Amino acid sequence: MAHNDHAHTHSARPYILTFMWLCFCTVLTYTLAHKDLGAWSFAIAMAIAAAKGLSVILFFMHLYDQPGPSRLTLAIAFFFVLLVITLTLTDVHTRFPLSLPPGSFRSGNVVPPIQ
Amino acid sequence: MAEHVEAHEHGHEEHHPRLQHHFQDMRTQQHAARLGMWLFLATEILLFGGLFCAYSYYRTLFPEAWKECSKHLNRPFGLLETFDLITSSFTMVLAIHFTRIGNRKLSVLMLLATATMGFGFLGLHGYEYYHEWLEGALPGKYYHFEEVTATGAPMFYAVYFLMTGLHSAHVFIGGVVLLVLTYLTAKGNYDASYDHPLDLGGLYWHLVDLIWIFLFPLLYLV
Repeated sequence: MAHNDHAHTHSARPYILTFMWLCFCTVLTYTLAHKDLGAWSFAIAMAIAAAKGLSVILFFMHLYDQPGPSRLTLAIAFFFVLLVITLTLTDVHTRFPLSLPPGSFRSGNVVPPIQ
Repeated sequence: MAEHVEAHEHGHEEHHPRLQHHFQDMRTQQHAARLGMWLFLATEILLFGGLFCAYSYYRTLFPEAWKECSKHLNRPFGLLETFDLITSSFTMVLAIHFTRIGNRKLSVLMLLATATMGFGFLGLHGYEYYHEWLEGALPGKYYHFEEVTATGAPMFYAVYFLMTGLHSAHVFIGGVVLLVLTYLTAKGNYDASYDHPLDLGGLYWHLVDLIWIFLFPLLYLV
């Protein structure tokens, strides 16, 4: 499990494969962004980003061969980020539409002259 | 008690010089160091999580502004920056790999390449910021970009500058850490039996890459 034990058999192959996979996913997400996929485009872009992120975490950051506590730490962090985003979005989506006052939300000549 | 002291002193002869006294062996020490780093990275993820939450909130309020503003970001530049960071993550793992198989020269070269790509990323992003500054595509009341007039456009740029700005600050810190690690590796501080600082620096660098992997489609490819 510890790499120090395998100093002589340590192989770079998983890194090369991960790198190629990341490049492939980047080209894929860039190409798909220029096609009109409608409502699916966001879901697909996020799925590709998640796949890339997971490969970085597992192979570059070596979480696939780490003991439990490191995995748990990361899982809890992601859980809370998702919780915060999900709860906020359920709030925004179930409210009556906000009236948006003119001001910094609007573009155009809203900068007041400096006194 | 005497037995304990004796056992300790006996063990001392076999100690790796880098082993701290309160750890049983090098493996335990490395696990503890890694866990500490993961805890820190978890707080970093939560820090960026708040911004991702703000992003989701304002994107829901202003979907049109998000679409229009995103089109005005430089997509090919975003793509180039993504490749830059992915490649730097790759050279980072290679640097650790070469240290572990005992090739110090290649390890130093890989670390230098990683740091260069890190600062290269900052240069590319600085160029983008400069153009946005010229166009007036700025946050809040400083916004005076005439091409996009959708409601909420200044909020897009507020979120954009906050997220990419905090990320770039991390790239800068990571770049400095990498330069220090390059120096220490060249000095011969690390080898197959001890590479913990390289390992932790690498984890930090990969986190920076990880965050960009999500920022790129969210900001550039809406």
